[in-house]
Amino acid sequence: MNTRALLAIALLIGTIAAVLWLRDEDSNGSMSRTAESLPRFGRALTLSKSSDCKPCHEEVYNEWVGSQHGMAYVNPEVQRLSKGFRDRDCLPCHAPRPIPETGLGERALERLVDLEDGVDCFACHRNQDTMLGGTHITQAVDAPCNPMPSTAIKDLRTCTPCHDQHKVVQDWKETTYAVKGPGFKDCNGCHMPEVARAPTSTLPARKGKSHRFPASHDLATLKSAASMTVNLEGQTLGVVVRNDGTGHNFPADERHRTVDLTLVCELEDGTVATCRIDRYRNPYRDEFDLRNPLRTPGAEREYTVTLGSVGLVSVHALRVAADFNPNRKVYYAENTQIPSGEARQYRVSLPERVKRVTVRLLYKNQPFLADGEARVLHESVKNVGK
Amino acid sequence: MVLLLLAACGARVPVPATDLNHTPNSALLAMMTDETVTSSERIERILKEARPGNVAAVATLRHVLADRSQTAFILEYRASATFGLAPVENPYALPLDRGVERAMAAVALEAISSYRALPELLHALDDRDGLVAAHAARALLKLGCRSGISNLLASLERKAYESEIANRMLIESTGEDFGFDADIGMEAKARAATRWKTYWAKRSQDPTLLKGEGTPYVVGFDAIVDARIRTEVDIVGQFQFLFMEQSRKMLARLGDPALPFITEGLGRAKDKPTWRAGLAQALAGMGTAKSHAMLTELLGDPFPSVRSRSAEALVAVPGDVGRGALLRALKDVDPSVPLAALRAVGSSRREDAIPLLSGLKGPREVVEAAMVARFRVTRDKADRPAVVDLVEGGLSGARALALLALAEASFIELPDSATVDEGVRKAFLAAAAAAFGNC
Repeated sequence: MNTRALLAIALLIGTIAAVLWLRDEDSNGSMSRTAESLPRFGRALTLSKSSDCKPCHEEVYNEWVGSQHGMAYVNPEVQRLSKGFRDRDCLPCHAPRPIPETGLGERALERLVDLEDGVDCFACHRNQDTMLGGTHITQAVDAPCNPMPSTAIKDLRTCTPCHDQHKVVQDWKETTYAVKGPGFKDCNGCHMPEVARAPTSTLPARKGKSHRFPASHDLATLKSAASMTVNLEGQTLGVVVRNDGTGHNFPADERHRTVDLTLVCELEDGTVATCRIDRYRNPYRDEFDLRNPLRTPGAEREYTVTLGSVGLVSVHALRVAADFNPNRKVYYAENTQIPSGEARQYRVSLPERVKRVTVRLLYKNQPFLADGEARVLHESVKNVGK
Repeated sequence: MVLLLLAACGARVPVPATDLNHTPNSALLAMMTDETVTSSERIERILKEARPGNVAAVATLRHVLADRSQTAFILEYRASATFGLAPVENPYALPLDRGVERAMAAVALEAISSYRALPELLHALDDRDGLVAAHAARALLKLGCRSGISNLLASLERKAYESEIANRMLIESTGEDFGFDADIGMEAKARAATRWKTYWAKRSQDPTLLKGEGTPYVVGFDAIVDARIRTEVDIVGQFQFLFMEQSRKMLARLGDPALPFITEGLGRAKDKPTWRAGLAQALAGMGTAKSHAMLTELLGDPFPSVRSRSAEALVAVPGDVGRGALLRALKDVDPSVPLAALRAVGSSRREDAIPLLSGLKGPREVVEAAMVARFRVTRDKADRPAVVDLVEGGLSGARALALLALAEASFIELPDSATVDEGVRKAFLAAAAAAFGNC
């Protein structure tokens, strides 16, 4: 065969490979993995509900039952918002079919049966006749769940079908946590912390991963997401809110999640007045009035807020850049969430008659919640003039 | 032909350079949000573009028309994207009081009458301002698409300025007049609106052209339009939920002209169940004989969600198409498929399904759903206690359906929190029982 013929064959193979590559590339530019490429056990799976997993995995089952995954369908708030799931578009993520079958990284699809189980064991672990486990597990032939070790279970694309809707994983990719090395931490690193597992009849004592999935519904996790420091010099209050505990924006995910920085002032005459210094949130598209005035790291602004009957309070705000990769991709310009590693620094000029101030960082599950109904992440009380 | 083949296998097909030359007029766009410019000046400027054949203005008018609250994305030119276009968050948003400007963009697009604005005009049917949707409906009619007529009919029940303009457009297009007037009183208005709807239910089946109706789009007519529609087909299989939802709706409204693009898309979606399920949902929204044929094929899809979405759409179709789909769905190995079909039996109140439901065997959820479906069709008093029992004792899917069935039968609106709030649920059941007692 002459050189020309060889070149022609090489060109043909290259073209076919390129077409195949183009066809497989998903919208995010990453290769998706389909059920066919994941391991299969080759024996019918007899389990169908999460409760079928309980006899052998009781500890994990109990963690999951109380988790937001376990209550994804029955959660009263979700039921209310979805009108008892008459809004059918909510079902794919609140009662998904097995993600490995739909395709890692692909949007989830609805299950329609065993809805009460919400995001059940099968959602992450099942692929056809097989239950996928971590790479440490063995392919136990006598286990009824047909277990197979697989890297898929730790793959972030098991989480993204439901949790990257608002770019949480995309945001993470631009942080220092996504850099391979000692500081690397992915979704599992924080939301599936390591726990000690007691020995069972079939397994020795070992380390496992928590299936409680602590996140915004867990106060300790919420409190660790961001820090707040407050100092007072004369009549000037300095506040710094820093996203130094998460690998994504704060708050993250759903657009209704809100964090407010509030100021309560007690005056010498006993008057108590409250104001909101700032709000961190990704607004809905039809909330035209909500703007992001600090559009780039380093941006600053002067503004006033109304402190009840006391009058206006002037505020200077500065968007402090993150040390790592400060200029990140912006998906929605009006988003005021604090990216990982960034801070918001404020200088508040207090009115003369104030004797005590309380600064609070409040987490609200939805933006219309009153301050009293919010969860207090951090609080700092300062006596003015002392 | 080569481009069509490449498109079918999902290879990158660039947008022809002619469309790239038509970049949005940034000065005109800036005017839209400039507070120093008056509304009349903005309108005058937009209408300057309203000239037949002024295709170069389409790129700008698309953006004036696309309101961020209802059109979540715009298509941006990107050489690396499959068809040279990629969806990005829509940065354009006019302040709340600029509905007239958006409506005038639709008027200008109607005058230009270019298929290149088809997707955006179809998205604009969802505009929160009825005036915009009405003008988009008429612009679409000129492009051979009747989808906006249902918006005009719905507008008859809205505010006076919306209903008046909708009525006028309906009269102009059909030559009919059912005496609708925003000031004739609620009852007379409702009667006239009903007459319009009854008329359109029949007239919509008649292929005779309406006044001002153009020729529907045909694949291959304009490479730029093809690329835009193909990109929307791809968005159905991508990630951002709202984008997917809006593209599905756009394709459904485009109707039969979208079918060749969906067929191609199903080819590209061979390994993507989510994409195929999304395309099935788009087909479900069309309601045409050709879309039913495609959905019938999708009943054989290997993935259950594609089959369940197809079954739910088809079972609601009267006659043999729906009955055949129900028969197939009830035999499906995945319980999601019969469950979806039974939901459709109830919502479409298909009486010929009743004999098929008696003695139905299968998982408990399917048996319970069949019981609710039968009640939704027959509203038989004898079945009522069993349906009430399912509200508390049924499995989750049947519980929600049972509540819905009781709401339908009692004509009492189902409170949003009835599924989770025991007090609300009990009050609803008591009200329903009282309504049944009164019957």
